[in-house]
Amino acid sequence: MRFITLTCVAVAGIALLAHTTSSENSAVGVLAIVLSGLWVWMELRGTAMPSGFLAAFALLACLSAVQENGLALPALSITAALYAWDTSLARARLAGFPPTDKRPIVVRYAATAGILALASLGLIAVTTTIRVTLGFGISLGLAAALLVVGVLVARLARLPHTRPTDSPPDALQHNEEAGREVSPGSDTA
Amino acid sequence: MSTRRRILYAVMLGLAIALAGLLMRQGDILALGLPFLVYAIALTLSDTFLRVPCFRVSRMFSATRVHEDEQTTVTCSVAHDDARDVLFSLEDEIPVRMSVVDGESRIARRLASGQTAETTYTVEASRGRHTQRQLTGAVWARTGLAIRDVRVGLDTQLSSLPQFETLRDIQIRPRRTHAFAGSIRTDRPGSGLEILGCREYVLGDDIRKINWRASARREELIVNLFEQEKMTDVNIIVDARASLHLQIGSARTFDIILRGAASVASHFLRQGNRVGLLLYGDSLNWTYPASGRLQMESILHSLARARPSSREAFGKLRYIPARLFATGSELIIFSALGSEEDIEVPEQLVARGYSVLLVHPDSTKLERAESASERYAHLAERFLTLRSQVVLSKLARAGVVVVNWNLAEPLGLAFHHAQTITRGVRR
Repeated sequence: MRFITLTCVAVAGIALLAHTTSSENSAVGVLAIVLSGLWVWMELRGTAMPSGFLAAFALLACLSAVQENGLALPALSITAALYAWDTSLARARLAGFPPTDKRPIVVRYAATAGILALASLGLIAVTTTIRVTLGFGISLGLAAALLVVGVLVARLARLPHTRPTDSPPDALQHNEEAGREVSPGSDTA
Repeated sequence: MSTRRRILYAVMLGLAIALAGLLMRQGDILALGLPFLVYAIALTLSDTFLRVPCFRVSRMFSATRVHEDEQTTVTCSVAHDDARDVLFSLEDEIPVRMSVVDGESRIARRLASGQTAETTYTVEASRGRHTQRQLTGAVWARTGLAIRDVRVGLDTQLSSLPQFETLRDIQIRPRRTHAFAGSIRTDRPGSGLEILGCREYVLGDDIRKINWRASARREELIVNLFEQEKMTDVNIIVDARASLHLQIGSARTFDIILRGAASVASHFLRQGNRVGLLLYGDSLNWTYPASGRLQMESILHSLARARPSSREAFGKLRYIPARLFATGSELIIFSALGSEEDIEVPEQLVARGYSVLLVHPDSTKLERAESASERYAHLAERFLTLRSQVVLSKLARAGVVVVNWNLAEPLGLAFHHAQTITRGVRR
């Protein structure tokens, strides 16, 4: 899983570097490579802060996209950074488990992440063919709406996480000798 | 990071990018928010449709009662009766003073319906009672994307009791004994194994008791008198005040003293006496005197739970409630006697009619070994040794039987030295 993370980080950096080499301002590309190198180094040391790196790559990708030199490479970069972040977190959850036991989880995860990445890139490719002209007022209104959505999402996230039980109580079995049942609704968020 | 936080982070980042795109009226930037949207939707759907199945979990020990530094094997098994395969991980909680020496306390597996996953690991526990309360883990969605944390409450206990050595004969002379036969010599004639003296033969005496050598010397029949042996109450008092105990390297003097107390308790209980235990420090932890194996278990469990304490209410040894102890019984005190007031306590107990044996733990040699390179270590050692000799000889003159125990050596050796000196004095 570390291999997936490092590959995605490398792709994210190289894509941005490639996108900006042809333009006058190659600082973004250089910065992307430096960030990639730092992320790889911290991953190898086991002290990475993937959330911070993801936000940094998102910013660099946006700056790179502003240059109007095509969207493919910035999209590839931001998608690769997103899944590098996710695989880094998933790998942290699996740290310390024997390799033979975690292989089925890793295989399924890699397949799912790959499909989602391709779907994202395909969606971006489709959107590049669509041209919608928005007035300033409409854009501002949409931005305000997005802000409201963001605030609502943040507030919802603070609510206690409760879920209804997935199976009726009589389906739970109790081992009287030494074990207990798992409550399907238990969650340690 | 939990699934919810991952969704939230992706959504916030995607919204921020979309907001920037809208404000700058750049469609390309707006489009860069799509991967986050796709990811958040996929993760939310994966989390929504994730079902935690019904697990049956058990934890079995090869032994729930072990001695210090002994190992025990723990077997955790997990099963579920759900129709589908489940990807899960489960980790057993290991308390702070337990450590895994072999094996893994974690399982990460894809478990089919009706299958059982098991892990076996070996643990070592320090002295005390250890409770494992739960197993924590996670269940993965079939896509591998969403993860739901689970926690299984499962209380089991492991008792790690102090080790003790087998002691040889410890001579005590309590002032009062019980009426039942035992192994404590009473200085009175009766049925026993030790010869108390001789007297002239009287009609009715057992002829097997005739001392033929003495009879030949005296030209009259002389019989042996045997010493009566009875059982008695032995009360062990352990001074658990934190100010008197040290950590020297990897050894703790408190643990060594508890092992000594366990050894003494085992010795007297094997002889059929009644043994009680008072732990003086955190509180008055009193185990009422009784005999037998159950009493040994009670004493070991009390010693296992003992912790050094700095409570002011029990800061002085003179607060020991002597009324707990039967009049004339034997008191065996394990204490380093930290102050002048403490030194008077054994004398006072002797004056009140108890027979007192003081086991004085001497950590000087242990400390010297740790601080060998220090400049004045040899002088400090000499000073401490002389001081303890003065104190202990004062107590010996007051009628207290003193055993100076070098903690670097076994307790049996200290008793042997003490009794050798006593026999030499008697001769």
